[in-house]
Parts: sequence; C-alpha cells; structure tokens
Amino acid sequence: MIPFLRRVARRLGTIAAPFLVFGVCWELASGPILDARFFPPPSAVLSLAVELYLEEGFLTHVLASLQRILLATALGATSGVVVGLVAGWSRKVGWVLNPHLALLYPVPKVALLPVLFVVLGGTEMVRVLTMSLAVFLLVAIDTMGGVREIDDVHVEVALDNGAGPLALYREVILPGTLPQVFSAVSMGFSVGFALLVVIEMLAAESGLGYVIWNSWQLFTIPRMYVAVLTINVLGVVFVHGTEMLGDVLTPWEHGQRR
Amino acid sequence: MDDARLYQACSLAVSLLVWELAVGVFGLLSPTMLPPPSTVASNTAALLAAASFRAHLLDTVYRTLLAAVVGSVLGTAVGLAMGWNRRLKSVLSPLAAAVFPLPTIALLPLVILLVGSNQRALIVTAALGTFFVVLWNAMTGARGIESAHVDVARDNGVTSIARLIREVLLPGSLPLVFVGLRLGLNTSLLITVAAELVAGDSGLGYVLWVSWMSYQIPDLYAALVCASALGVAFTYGIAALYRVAVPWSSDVRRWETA
Repeated sequence: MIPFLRRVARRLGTIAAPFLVFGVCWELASGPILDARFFPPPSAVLSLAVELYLEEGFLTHVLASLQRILLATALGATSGVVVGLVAGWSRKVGWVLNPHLALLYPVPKVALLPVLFVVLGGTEMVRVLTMSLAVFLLVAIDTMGGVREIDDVHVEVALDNGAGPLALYREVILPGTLPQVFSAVSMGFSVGFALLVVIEMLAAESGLGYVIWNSWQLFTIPRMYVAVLTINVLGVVFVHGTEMLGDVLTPWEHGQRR
Repeated sequence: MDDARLYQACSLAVSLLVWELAVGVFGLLSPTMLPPPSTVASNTAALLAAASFRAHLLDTVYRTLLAAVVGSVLGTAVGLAMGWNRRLKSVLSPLAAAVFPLPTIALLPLVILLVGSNQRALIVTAALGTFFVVLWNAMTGARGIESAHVDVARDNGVTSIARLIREVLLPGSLPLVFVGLRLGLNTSLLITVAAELVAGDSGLGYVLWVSWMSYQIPDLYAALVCASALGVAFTYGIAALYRVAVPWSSDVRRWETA
C-alpha cells in the first residue's frame, strides 16, 4: 500500500510541477514585466475565484453552461451512437446516410448558428440543438467507422455459435465500437465547449461565455480570468474524464491502440 | 464501389429535391426563412459576382490559411519533439493536456487586449487554437511510430540522426502530419469564423453576423454555403493529397468515410 501511495504522489508531483513553475513565473512577472491590469497575478485570480464561487450570481452562470453542455452532449451522443451503429452495420443505410454525414461534418458549426437562429428562433432549444448537432456528427461518423472496422471473423464466429441479432450487438458490435464511441464523445465535449462559448458570447444572457464577454466590456479583467479558468477546468474534467472513463470501461482496447 | 457512389449521389439528390419541392412547389415551409436550394444557389452565385462579398470571402480564406500554417507548423514541430523526447514531454504534456480542452475563442478578448488590433487578434486566436489541437494530435501520434523500425534502421547501420529522421521518422509521421493538416485547417476555419462573428469587421463570420441582425436571408445563406464549401474543400482536399502522398497507409479507407 505504501509504495502504491508513493507512486501516486510522485505521479501527481510530476503533473503538478509544471503548473506550479508556470504559476510562480506568472506571479513574479505580473507587475514588473507583464501589465497587471491585463495579467493579474494567479493569487489575485484564485482569491477572486473563491469569492465568486461563494456568490450565487456566478454559480448560476456556471450551472447554465453545465446544463447546456450536458444536455447537448447527451442528445448528440445517444442519437449519434444509434445512427452510427445502424449505418455502420447495414450497407444500404450507410449509403443513404453517409453522403449527408460526410457533407455536414466539415461544415463549421458556428456558421450554422445564425441560420438556425433565424429559421427556428433564438430559443434555448436552438442553442442546445446547434451544439448537439456537432456532437452527433462526430459520434455518428466515428461509431460507423468503429462498426466497419470490426473483423468479419468475429461476426462469423458469433453467428456460427448461434448468436441472434441482439447477442451479436451486445457481444461483438458494442464492445468493438465502444472505444471509438468514448473517444468521439470526448472530442464532442471539446467541440461542444467551443460552440458553447461562442453561443453564450453572441446570443445568451447567461453562462460562462456571457460572463467572459460581459467582463471584457466592463473591463473587469480578473472576473474574465475566473470565467476562463472555470471553463477550462470544466473542459478538462469532461474531455479527459470521458477519455479516462473509456480507458477504464474498455480495458480490452489497451495495447491495441494505434 | 460504383454502385455505392450511385446510391450516395442519389441519396443527396433526393434530399435536395424534397427540400426544393417542399418549399418551392408545395409551400410547406416559408421560402423567406428557408429558401429552396435553387434560390440559395442563385443567390450565392449572384453574391459571389459582387466584389464586396468576394472580399469578405477572401479575408476569411486568408486568415484561415495564415493561422493554419503558423499553428500547424509550430504545433507539429513541438508535438513531435515532445513525442520523441521523454524529458520535454514530462514537462510540457501536463500543460498541453490542460489547455487542449479550453475553447480558444474564450481567449479572444485577452488576445485583443494583448495584440491591440482586432484584425490581428482574429488571426492570432485562430493560430493559437490550431497550435494546441495540432500539438496534441502530433504528440499522441508520435508514440505510434514503432520503436522496432528505429531499431531495425540502427541495426542496419543508420547512425546519423539526419538519416534516421529522413528514412524512418519522417515517413512514419507523414500520416500524422496529414491528420494534423486537416485538423489544423478545420480548427482554424472554425475559430476564424467564430472570431469574425464575435468581433470581426470583415469576413464570412462578419457577414453572418450582419445578415443575422438585419434579416438579410440571402446573404446569410450565401455566407453559410461559402464557409461550408471551404470546410468541405479542406477536408476532402487534404484527404485526396493524403492518398497520393501516403499510399501505404491502411488508414486510407477510414479517411474516405471520415
């Protein structure tokens, strides 16, 4: 137990050290080298963060952003997995859906935002819908690719051993695509956060993106830093968290990754 | 394969036809909000003939390319160096991992403060975002180059670093460089359009913003079509280049679907 703890402590140390060095450099440079109005020292930002987190107003913005990103990812990921599985498995469905997915996938989703707002109205649903569309495309395409990459041998063995369609999905196709699904959802989160910030900067009265924009216009730079920091922490938790969850839940993929 | 192409082309054609008929002939949807594809196409063509719209398009292309080149080159260089040098990686990778999920657009106000002019800030923000995405991709991908190949080269008398880079590391990392290029161009386009939407005074994102605010529906769709066309051209242009430059890759098929 002790060596294990020591290993964890050392690992944490190597991860934390670059941040500490970076933070200390910033702290020292803020003032003499960097303009403290634009680059407030980390100590000031962190103490303001504590202050703001204890305030109800800031927390409502955090919750608004969280609600949007979670709703959008849940919608986009579930529909993406379903469509990806079907389009990957059935050749015909793939032929019908693939050109649409392939054409929509490279479209910069922010450009869709104003059009969707004009067509459907500037509602909360449209905000979430735009984000979930981006997540959907990523997850659908990667899931489809994952299904197609499953070795035919695995499918044949399952069929020869009497697997019905349900067992085939559960025993072969799902385990074979799950790693791709997790990495796609992780990517989806990172695209989702980018859209979230743009949407909240442009067309929302709440959320961290709104706080960033609003603080900039009021020139309350430290508050802007707290918002950026918060969004960064949320991004790290969801993007890397999903990836780690995928690694834990799909241990059979280890060592096989390119 | 030709069969597949036919199905795919038909699938797209049918959707366009349904859209055209639903709006144009049967009047199921309002043509002012959602014009039929023929109207969108003719409006876009008309706008493209106008010098002012072309100037906006060229502004976006220029910013996207400049930011993509700067960000991708730096990102690939630092990422590969981190992938091959353990010490560098242990110092920089926690920082890179922490910044990767941060939407760069959230830093736009800071970059504007720092750079002074909005115009340059757009490019710097896009380059920054591209840098982090490409860096992350290059770092994780550099691991994929098998050390066995390096060992074989060493055993066969490759002693100089330059030769090792030319014969093993460069061909080995080509697939990665192409993925990086595609990622870089698309990220750069996304951030450029987003930044223009938020703070630009020219470019497609700016056109989207203005036509959204003033309900200039033809301009809105034309800007969306152009931004999408750029995304499609980048994605599939790079994919085509990839097939020519890296014919040995087993990834080629995956590229066609993604």
